[in-house]
Parts: sequence; structure tokens; C-alpha cells
Amino acid sequence: MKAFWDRKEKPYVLIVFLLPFLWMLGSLLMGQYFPDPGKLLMRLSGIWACVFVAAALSVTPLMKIKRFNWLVRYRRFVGLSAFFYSMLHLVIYLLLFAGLSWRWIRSDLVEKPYIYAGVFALLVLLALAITSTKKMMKRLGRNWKRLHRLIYLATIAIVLHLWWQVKGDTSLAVIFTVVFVMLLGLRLISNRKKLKKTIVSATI
Amino acid sequence: NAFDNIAETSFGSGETVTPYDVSTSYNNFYEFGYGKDDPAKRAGSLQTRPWSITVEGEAEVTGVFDLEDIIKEAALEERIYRLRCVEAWSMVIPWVGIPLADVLNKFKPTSKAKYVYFETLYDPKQMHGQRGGSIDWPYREGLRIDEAMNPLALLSVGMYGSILPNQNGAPVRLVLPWKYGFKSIKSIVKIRFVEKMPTSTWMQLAPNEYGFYANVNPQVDHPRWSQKEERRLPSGVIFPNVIETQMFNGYEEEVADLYAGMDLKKYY
Repeated sequence: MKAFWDRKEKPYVLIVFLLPFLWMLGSLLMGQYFPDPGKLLMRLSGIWACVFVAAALSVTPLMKIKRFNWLVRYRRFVGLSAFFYSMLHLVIYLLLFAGLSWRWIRSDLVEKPYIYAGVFALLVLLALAITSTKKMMKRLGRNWKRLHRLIYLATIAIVLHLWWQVKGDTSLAVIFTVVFVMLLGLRLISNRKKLKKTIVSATI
Repeated sequence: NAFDNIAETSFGSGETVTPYDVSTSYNNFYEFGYGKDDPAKRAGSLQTRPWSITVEGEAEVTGVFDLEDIIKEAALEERIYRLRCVEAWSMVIPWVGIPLADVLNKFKPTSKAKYVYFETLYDPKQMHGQRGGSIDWPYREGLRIDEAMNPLALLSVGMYGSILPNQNGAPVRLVLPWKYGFKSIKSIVKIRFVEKMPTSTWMQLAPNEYGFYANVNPQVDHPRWSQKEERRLPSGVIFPNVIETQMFNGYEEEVADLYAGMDLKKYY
């Protein structure tokens, strides 16, 4: 059992992460999102992108608990999934929502600031995905950690992206804001503790 | 539930009517939930017979009227109208109803009646979505009196030759094809003639996004999305049917006079 979890489980974990995508694809092809798949899938893919960003933000705090330290093996996976679902969200916008209509996309780009908040988050995730390999980690050294802290900025951009476009129903924006604020808050608390420790050790 | 002898009109010639299944299963009717399929699932709880409408305000004839007394079946006509939702999707619906002007004139509005205000039923027992959420129920709408009297404005009691399904605003709703769909208030219980411009539900919720007029206008984008194009439903399996949005939803000839000289960017 241990050998399995050490070596062979990764493809299975990958499939689990891909399940929401496969489910959406299957439902789309079976006509479940009829008559306006673009509108419904925009929301669904956005939700899954948020879920995986939240999952990626949860890994580090969880890892610190001894029982969950094995999670470190999947940190990169979870982060890449967040990037994947964010990309999917963009592709759905371009293809299914705007029908690749350049007029539509251009006027959205010109007038809709919330799109830029989303694009910003996506660019950050792209940069993190590119630099997620061990090689890049080594090459960047200390800067790697600094770069990957951009995820906090991306999270704030996602919260903006959510609130900027709610119509009547705020529940989704509220839920993800609470989750994200909690996860970012955890960082602040642990950073403060670290700071205290260094101050204490320095005075001693 | 089908009507007999509905007078045909020339509206909508050349348009492909949206399939019944689509227009009765994809609805915005927040009184039954925010999801597009919520109204079709939940609107069965709405009791649409008997139905009365309260008429009040600046008119000679006011009081509580039974729907059947307001709209006589013999006067019904069919109008195939384009429906453009503010969310950038659209349909083509064969409505059954009578011109709104015919109904309003019966109440003899006075010279003080500059606007008409409409209200949807408020009954959280029948309309589960009214139990919570951020909307201050009941749903409210308003029109300038000349807009309400425009021959295009329809008071509808049916679609596809039969009575309105509950999810589409039964038993009586407005249809204003040159305005975004949300102006066409559903399940009306109150008509009030007023002197001052009433505040509609969407103006109250987001005044910078939803104006009183809400005319379909590709030149004026919604603050959060473009209105230049629309998806004519139903979309294909993957690709949507994207078409250009027309000024006043293509009814410029009929309604442009109403807004002559007005800055439509300001009065959106």
C-alpha cells in the first residue's frame, strides 16, 4: 500500500481533479446546458476555478499539521488545476459565451473592468504554472517564493472579479469571499507569529 | 388552455419562433429563484385563478377588478415579438394579449397621470423566492404614460396560443419588446397612475446599472457587459448563435418618436 501511494497514485489523483471538467464536458455534449450553455458554463467553470484556487491556498496551512504533511506531494497538482480551470473559464467565455465574436469580445474588453481583474488573476496563475517545475524552483531560488506569493494578489483580484458582476444573487460572491479571506487571514496570523519569534530570538 | 379565435397580426414575420420548451424552461423570475430553471420547477405553487388587479391613483375609474373583466377573450390577438434580455440573450415569442393602451384607457387616466406603475404579486407562500434574498419585494416597474400607450406595448395573458405558463408570468404580464426583458413585469396585481416617475426594482437595486427606461440600445453598454451583440437562443451544442443587437430591439420605427431629443446615454 505504501509503495502504491509513493509512486503510482498520481494519475488517479489527476483523474479526480479532472472529474469536474469531464462532468461538464459530458453534460454539455448531452445537452444538459441547453439552451444557453455559454451562460451556465461561465458560472460553473468560474466556481470550479475558485474551488481549486481555494484548495491551492489551503494546502500550505494544512501541510503544517503533521497528519496532513503528505499533502505537499500534491501542492503543485492543485495549483496547476486552479490554472487549468481558470483557463477553461476563459475559453468558455471566448467560445461558448461570446461565440468568438470579435465585436463582442472587444467591447467587453473596452468597457468591463471586472474582466481585467480576472485576466490579472489568470496571468498570475500562468506565471506560477510556468515556474512550478523543480527546475524553475532551483533556478529562481529565493525569488521563487516571492513570485509565488503573487497568488495572494490574484486571490484579491478574484474577489473583485466576483463582486464586480453580481446581479441579484450575492451568495456565491459571499461564500468565496469568506473562504478566501479566511485563507489569507491564516497567512497573516502565521506571519505575525513568525515575526514575533524572530523578534524574541533576536532579543535573546 | 388554448384560446379560440386569436386575431393574427403581421408582427414577427420572418422570425424563427423560439421552441416552446426553451422559452418555458429558461426564465428569469426571481420570485421563484435565481436559477434559470427554477421558475419552471417551482412556479407550480402559484395560484393564477381567480386573479384580481387593483387599479388606483390618477384615474377616473379605480378599484379592484377581476382579470376576466379587464381582458375579454374576444379581443385577444397574437404578436410575435423579439425578446432581448439585459443579460445578452434573446428569444422570439408568440404572445397572446391585447394592447396595453386599450386596457389603460378603460380606467380613464386623468391629466395628472404622467406615469404608470405596476406591481407583481407579493406572497412568499406562493412565491418561495420572496422569502429572502437582496430584493425588496414586491417587484415593481413603471412606464411613462406615452410609452404605456404605444401600440407595441402588450398586456399578455398567453403565449403559443394558450394561457401563460406560470413560469412566464401567469396569469397576466407586460410585454414591451423594445425594452430589456426585466421591464416586462410578470404576474401583475397592481396598476397605479402616478404623477412622478416611480422607482423600479432594478433601479432601486443598482441605479448605476439599470435605468428607468431600459430601452434595448447597443450603443449603451451595461456597466458590466457589452450590449452590442446577443445570443439568440437556443444555442447550438457548443457554439452560440451570436447576432447583432438592434436599436430598440429592431422596433425603432414604432418607438423612436417617444424618445426624440432625449440623450439615451443619460436616460438609459
